[in-house]
Amino acid sequence: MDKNEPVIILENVHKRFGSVHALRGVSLQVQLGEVVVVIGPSGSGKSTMLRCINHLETIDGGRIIVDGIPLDRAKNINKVRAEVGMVFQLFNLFPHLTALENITLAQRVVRRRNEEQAVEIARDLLAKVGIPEKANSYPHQLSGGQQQRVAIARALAMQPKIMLFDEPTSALDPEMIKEVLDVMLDLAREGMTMVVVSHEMGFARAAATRMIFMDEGQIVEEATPHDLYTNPQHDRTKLFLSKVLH
Amino acid sequence: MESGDATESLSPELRPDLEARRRGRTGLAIPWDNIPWWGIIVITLGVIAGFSAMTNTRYVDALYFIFDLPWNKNGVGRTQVAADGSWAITIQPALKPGSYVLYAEFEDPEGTYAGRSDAFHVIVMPGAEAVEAPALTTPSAAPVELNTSIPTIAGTATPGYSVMLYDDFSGNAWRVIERIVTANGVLLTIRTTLVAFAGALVLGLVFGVMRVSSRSPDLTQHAWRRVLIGLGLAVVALIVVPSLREMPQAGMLLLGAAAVLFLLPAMPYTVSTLYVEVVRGVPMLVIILYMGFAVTPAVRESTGGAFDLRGWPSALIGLSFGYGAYLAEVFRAGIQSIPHGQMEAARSLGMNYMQAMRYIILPQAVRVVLPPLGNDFISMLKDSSLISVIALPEVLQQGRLWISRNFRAFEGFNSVVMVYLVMTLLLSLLVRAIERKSALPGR
Repeated sequence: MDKNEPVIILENVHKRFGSVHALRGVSLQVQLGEVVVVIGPSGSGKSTMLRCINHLETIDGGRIIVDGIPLDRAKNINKVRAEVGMVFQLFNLFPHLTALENITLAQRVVRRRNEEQAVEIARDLLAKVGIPEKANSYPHQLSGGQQQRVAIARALAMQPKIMLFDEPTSALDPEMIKEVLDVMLDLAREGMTMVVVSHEMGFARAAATRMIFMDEGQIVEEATPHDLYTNPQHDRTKLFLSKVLH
Repeated sequence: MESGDATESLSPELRPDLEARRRGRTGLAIPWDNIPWWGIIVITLGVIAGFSAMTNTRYVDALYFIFDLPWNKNGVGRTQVAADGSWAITIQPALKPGSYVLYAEFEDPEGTYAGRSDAFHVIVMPGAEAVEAPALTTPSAAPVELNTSIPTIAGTATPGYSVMLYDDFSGNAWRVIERIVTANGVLLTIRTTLVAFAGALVLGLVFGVMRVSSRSPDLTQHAWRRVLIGLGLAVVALIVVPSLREMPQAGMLLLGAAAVLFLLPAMPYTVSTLYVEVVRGVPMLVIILYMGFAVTPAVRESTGGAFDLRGWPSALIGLSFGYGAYLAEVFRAGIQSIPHGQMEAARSLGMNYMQAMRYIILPQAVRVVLPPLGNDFISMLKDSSLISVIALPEVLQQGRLWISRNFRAFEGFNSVVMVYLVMTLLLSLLVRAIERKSALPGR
């Protein structure tokens, strides 16, 4: 794939849930190494758009091309998904496995690495997210912030090209938000391509190369964080920012 | 939850009844505190012993019969002592080669035990044929070699008495084990329930997973590919089996194969729903009778006797098949109770559906469904009594046989009830222990 081609392309994507038109003609391009932060009111379609990139939702119109592969014609969607890591709002850790096993399972089963390799990578990642001592703990023994960091490590273990974050800190206590955002900031600095749906304005200002404001299934405005905060173009953007920035 | 200040302020009706929680460790309707698990067995056996003592030991006799004891001897012949005091028993059917310990027991005309003879040690030689031979009249400890497989034992006793000849294998551990494992009555019930439940588990898991699949899949996806595969398979069948090349059959085969393959994505849900709804809608008794009196003879005829399912196999298939439908629903509910995010997380890591089910969903679902499965196992233990209608000698049938021979309905049925109660009570305690152990960490 050409280095200069966008790694994620959405062209006029439509998505309906029954009678609800969740995405109305969304078009987006993300380059390799970009950090895109998506903000918007609830019901604006941010999470839906993210889940469409991952093919967790199928689209009703338009095209999505990830890593050069159009999703509707992908021969093996699982191979594409292995290149796109996702971190969920509710962590979705596997409760019957320890933190280490959570991270090694997909490596062994999908990437077919052997046990030692998988464990080594898992331990490195746990150290990187700051909780190497929790390798043998079960999810229910970890705090929310620790669980989310294990979830990030689990997604990173597949060495994906793109990381998607669906409101990763929305379910956390305020004290734990910082530790997760620090991990995400490190990832951004290392050059990972990230699409983050979040309300954390501080993180957006520090890490985002581009911010997108979505409302009612459409992208209303795209700008750098600085430009979006200081000079929002659309009234809807101004309204949303006035409510959120306090 | 601690008691204390928080609960002191509540009115008496709302305060958690910690005493009640501590009480009833067994969870049964016994009003004493802290009865240990083995207390149930002791109480039940005490009740049995009490009844027996009060009613002239007929309970012991009934239970003896229901348990299909003894396990260390076989009856191999019976006769009456003639007027001149002589008796002779020829052993039928023929004995297999091996060493045997034979002895006779005597009963007076009222049926009271009246003594036994000394043991005859004999060895039936390999290659012995079923030929008449002189009777053995003297017991001996030293083994006597026989060249006949139908030896005759004879002797003298009081005229009018009955003689029973027994083959005593208490010295042969292997035969004892074999006899215990194949015993009728209680052991047949336990064997049937274990094997039928295993079968039902497999059926339930397969159909349960099928039930979880999409109810309205996208049939248009890859439709042409599927139809072509169907036609291809039909063509292969036509090539391989020349007799199918007649026009109506060939046409139906092509059409049928194409149609089935086209509908394939909808098949898992459709087939499993058909199975579950139909089988759950038919009474268990009807299923067992259908299996035993309709399916078994039909299978026997159509395969020319190759597949004879009479007796135990048909009962097993009937019970497995019938319970599989209920277990399928249990598994489906368990799988659907796992939060959807688990499947999403697994798929987003690149796992396909089968991998996600195998490593993530099913391990969690199994832990969730273990208590209902345990309860279904106890249910099947009780429903195993239904196989008595195809004349299998399990607990109920043994009980009824004993009643018809001894004309004592209360003792007979009370014994059957006690046997079932002890088994189900023990199993309930086991299920509760499994429930505690298998709960997901943190639940």
